[in-house]
Amino acid sequence: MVDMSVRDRIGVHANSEGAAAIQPSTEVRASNRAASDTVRVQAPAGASAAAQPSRAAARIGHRERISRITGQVVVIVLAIAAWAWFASTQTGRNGSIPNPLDTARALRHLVATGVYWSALGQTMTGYAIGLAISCVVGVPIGLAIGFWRRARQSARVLLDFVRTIPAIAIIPLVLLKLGPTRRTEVVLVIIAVLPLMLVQAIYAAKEVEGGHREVARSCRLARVERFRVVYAPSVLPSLLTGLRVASTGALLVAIAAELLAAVPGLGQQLTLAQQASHSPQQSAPVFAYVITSGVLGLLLNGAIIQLRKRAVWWHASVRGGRR
Amino acid sequence: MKQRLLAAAWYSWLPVVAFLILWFGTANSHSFYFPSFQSILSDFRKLWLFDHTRSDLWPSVVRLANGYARGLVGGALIGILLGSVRRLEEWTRPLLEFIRAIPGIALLPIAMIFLGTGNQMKVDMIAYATFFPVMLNAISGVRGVEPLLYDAARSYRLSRWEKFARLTLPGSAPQIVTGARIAVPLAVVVMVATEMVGTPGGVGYFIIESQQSFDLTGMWTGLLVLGLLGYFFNTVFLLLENWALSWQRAMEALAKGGTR
Repeated sequence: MVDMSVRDRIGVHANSEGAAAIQPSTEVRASNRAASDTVRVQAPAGASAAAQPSRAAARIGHRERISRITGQVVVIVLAIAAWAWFASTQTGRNGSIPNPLDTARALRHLVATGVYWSALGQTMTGYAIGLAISCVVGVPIGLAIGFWRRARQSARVLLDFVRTIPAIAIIPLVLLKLGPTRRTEVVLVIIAVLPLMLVQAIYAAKEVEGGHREVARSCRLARVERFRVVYAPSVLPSLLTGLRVASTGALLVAIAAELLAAVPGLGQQLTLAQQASHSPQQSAPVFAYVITSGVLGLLLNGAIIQLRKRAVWWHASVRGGRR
Repeated sequence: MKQRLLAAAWYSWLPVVAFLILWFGTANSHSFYFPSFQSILSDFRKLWLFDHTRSDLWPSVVRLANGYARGLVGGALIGILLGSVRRLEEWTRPLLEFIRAIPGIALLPIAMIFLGTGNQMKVDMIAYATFFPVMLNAISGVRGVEPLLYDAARSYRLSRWEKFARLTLPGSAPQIVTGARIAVPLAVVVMVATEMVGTPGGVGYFIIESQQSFDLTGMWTGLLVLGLLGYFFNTVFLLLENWALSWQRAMEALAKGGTR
């Protein structure tokens, strides 16, 4: 536990190269949680060899889990109650917000329509194509740059500058050139995510330890072997963490493109629903779409966490910080 | 000395080459979408020195600073609270995870319904975008404080306030600063996006207005301004972080086993 927190903090500050710094915060959280889980599981086993105390400990663990879940449910119920109270008493500039019941009804209604699912599919298409292209192009180039110090230094200033221009600011240009098409969306996602993957890959390349490289060389490993045994395991954890950040960004930009450039998809449905709403009941679909995008974000995030768990199961941040 | 000069040369050659390519490569450009770099720079001088700096850049910066400061303070306070009270964090986790998973931009229509399209909405959205990364980093920062230190504090019978001021705050500060830096580009994105929809004033508004009047050269100057703004903030933050956290780096060097 102690070692882990120190290690994580080193991880946080060792990379001052920018967006890659997003990575530690999430990773730290993940590993913290994983660590507390292992501690909970391991404590009884380590406490004694006898069966009796460990069963008691298990019972305590069970009770703790129940109390935690109860707490979580209570918080969510409170939040929904607060929402309902807010909806019934407060009015904003352009009307008030719909209450939870109306929103649930609107969501149920929408789920039964084809528009909803095709919008979901369209958003996913733009997101997936953009993200895939960014990874396929960004990762090899980034790794190549990262392995060579001079290339790293050369690319630094230019990358830093390009990265600071938000992709959303380029929407008007791309929209004018390509029109409100899927292509616009994909191009924007790439503009937003490619630099991110590039920087993350450069950072990941630094994770390969010089000692490992030398051992591989002195063992005369073939190039394929060297890649499989030395390079891939070193860069993969960091790349997959980067993928998670990139995925969040890609979804955001995809929805932004639909919202601001009228590309068909969830974002456009949001705009349409907003334009059609003049009363709280009518603005319920807006909320339903927002909730949909939240669930989508949650699912994508979960999928990538699972992928990371499977792919780099041996890494400390997955196993729970025990070295 | 020679080493340094060499490194500086490696750092700067590509930007210089890129600049030259832009300068000469686009010199005869008659493309509507990609005007020549010279014309962009000359328009930049005409537009941003200092008419639009006053009418667009300044409001943007004030808005950004205002929203960012709110998000930062709120995120740090709530993050420290949640980080210190373990149960509270566990209970609110699913709710917070869900809210965080909603792409910020999708909340724009709701913000427009409820807060209108004026300055207040923009500031609030910027604050919202800043809030989450700061809060999450504050939580893990507080969690990461060495538990042994708390044991020591207990045996010295430090008061609750002393523990907070001497352990929790300095211990979590590095991560909070990291969160604050991560939040900057997000805040800029939200600033641009909210300015693109609502009332006049702001760099985002300038960009969309140039585009709608088919003044693509003007639009490029807007992008240039955003790039410069972002680069400026990023540099300031790196310097700040280096300065504020120098002691932290020293500790890490020790922890790594080095003697400095």
